[in-house]
Amino acid sequence: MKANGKAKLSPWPYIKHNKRRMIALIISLSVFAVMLYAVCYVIDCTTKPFYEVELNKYDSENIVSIKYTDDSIKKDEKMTDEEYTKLFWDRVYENFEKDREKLKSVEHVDDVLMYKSGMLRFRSIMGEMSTPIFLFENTEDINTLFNHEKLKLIKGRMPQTRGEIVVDKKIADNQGDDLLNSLAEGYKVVGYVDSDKYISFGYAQENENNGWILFLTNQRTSVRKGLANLGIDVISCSDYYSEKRNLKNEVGSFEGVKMVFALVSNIVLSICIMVVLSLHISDRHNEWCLISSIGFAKIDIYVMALKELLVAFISGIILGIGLGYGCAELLDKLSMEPLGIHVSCLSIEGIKFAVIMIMVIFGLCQIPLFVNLNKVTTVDEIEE
Amino acid sequence: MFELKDATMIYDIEKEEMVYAMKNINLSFPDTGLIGIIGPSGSGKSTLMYTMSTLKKLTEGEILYNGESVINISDSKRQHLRRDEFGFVFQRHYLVPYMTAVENVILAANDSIAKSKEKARNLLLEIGLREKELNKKPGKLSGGQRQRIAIARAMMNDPKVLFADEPTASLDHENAFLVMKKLKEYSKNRLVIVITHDASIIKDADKVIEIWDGTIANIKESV
Repeated sequence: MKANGKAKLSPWPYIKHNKRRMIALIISLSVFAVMLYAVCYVIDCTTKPFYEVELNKYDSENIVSIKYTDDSIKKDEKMTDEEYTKLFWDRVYENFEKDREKLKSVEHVDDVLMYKSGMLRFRSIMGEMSTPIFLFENTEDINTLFNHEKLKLIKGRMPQTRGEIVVDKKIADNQGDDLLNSLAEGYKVVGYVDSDKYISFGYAQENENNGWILFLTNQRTSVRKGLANLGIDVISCSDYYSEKRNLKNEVGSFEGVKMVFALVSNIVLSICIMVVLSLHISDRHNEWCLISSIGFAKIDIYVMALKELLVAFISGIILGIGLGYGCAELLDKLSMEPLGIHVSCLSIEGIKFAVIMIMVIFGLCQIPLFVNLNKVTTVDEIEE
Repeated sequence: MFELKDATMIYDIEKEEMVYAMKNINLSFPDTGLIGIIGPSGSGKSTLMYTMSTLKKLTEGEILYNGESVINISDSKRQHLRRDEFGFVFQRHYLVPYMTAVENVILAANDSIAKSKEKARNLLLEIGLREKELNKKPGKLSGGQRQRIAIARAMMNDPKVLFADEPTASLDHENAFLVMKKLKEYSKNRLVIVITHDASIIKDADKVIEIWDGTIANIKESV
């Protein structure tokens, strides 16, 4: 007597003849997937702009503060404030120029520029952030930055005189009429660039009273160590890693919100689906007892039920993600685009999140399945 | 083919008043032929069928099938016997309510779906179902039609032994004899064991075993 492993139990008759039940299950799962995907998308729209606006530029830049002031410069009684400021910054630029070649010798650094920083604002759907605009003292430095970042002027022209700036198109869309409110008076937009790094730059006005050093690098790096090796005292250094840490502290709480939402909705849906599934399985007790009586093992019944569930869950996931993507497109057109927020509607994070959460429910569904399989006997016992 | 040695089945073995469904039954069955088992309700005839077909385990004694015990066999051997060697017609049909007549028959099939479908259709037509009834679900069919589907399902894998518990219970006299004629034909090269309390339907049986209170009351062989 040899065990026979030929024909398997097919999941299709049940699926074919119980369309309403299957469709109800698929719709419940897909609605859940849509919810998860939409939450991920909305959170993406909140956090991604923070990351992109704040972080992307540090893939090829470091912003460093080094003391180049000269304590010998004292304000003369005859000097106006403007004259003193000009003298002060002329001396700082002179000192920087003396050091420039040394600074360029740091590993992965292509060039080093001194700039004065203005601030532009960027609104996300929750909160607002600042991003620097690089204001230079000459057009040569402007071109150096422009070429290094491989920027493309999509409209207008490059800055030629003091007070002229070129801004990133996305920032301009996002801020609209408020674009120049965060800058000193007298600035004028003469062109637009479009880059993933949200870079804006211009020709500084005389009254700008700050100075920063911009390290143009050929890879994501931190110049802090290299500068320390050269014996240069760094007051502050903003690089990709330090900025990412700061951002995580600021926007990391959104991840918590996402997880709490997913957990609560997952528990509610899991309970509902497990109850419904238990009822469906109880209805099939006699069928499974018959199958067991005519020579199929419990594992065969389990595999058949598993296939039926998989069909429902995979369909639910595919439909849910498709609808979720559609919802994201709709949200994008209606809410995000007018805000100048550009976040891809195809959220890999959202897909992963929805799939994982639904597979957790799939895992939990094994409980009623096992409980009911355990009750399967042969038909003679039902007859008794 | 089958040999029962002191086969005993006791229900409520833990209780003081034990119920003997089968008591020291010694029987042998040939490889082919139509065997009728007759007796009143509760006489132990269904228990005899269930123990022989491995659905139930004897309390005491031995059942040999082709010389091998079917009592303490592995799960896989038991599944093989039930699936490939035996066919079952249960008293209450046990059809799957959401499946069509053809799908119910091929539920037990060992062949590919396409092959099995064709065979199932032929079996159902031979046993008296009409073409238009083949794709109907059991709920839309009469008791007699459902019984015929159960019989066709039992024949699907060409079993060596076909166990039929009251196979004509839901049929009128004419259809009952039609089914019995089919089973008689089927028993030419297989063993068909029919359990019934209606002596008239097994008048053509090769052997009739009469059971009373779990013991063999009489064995009548046709000449």
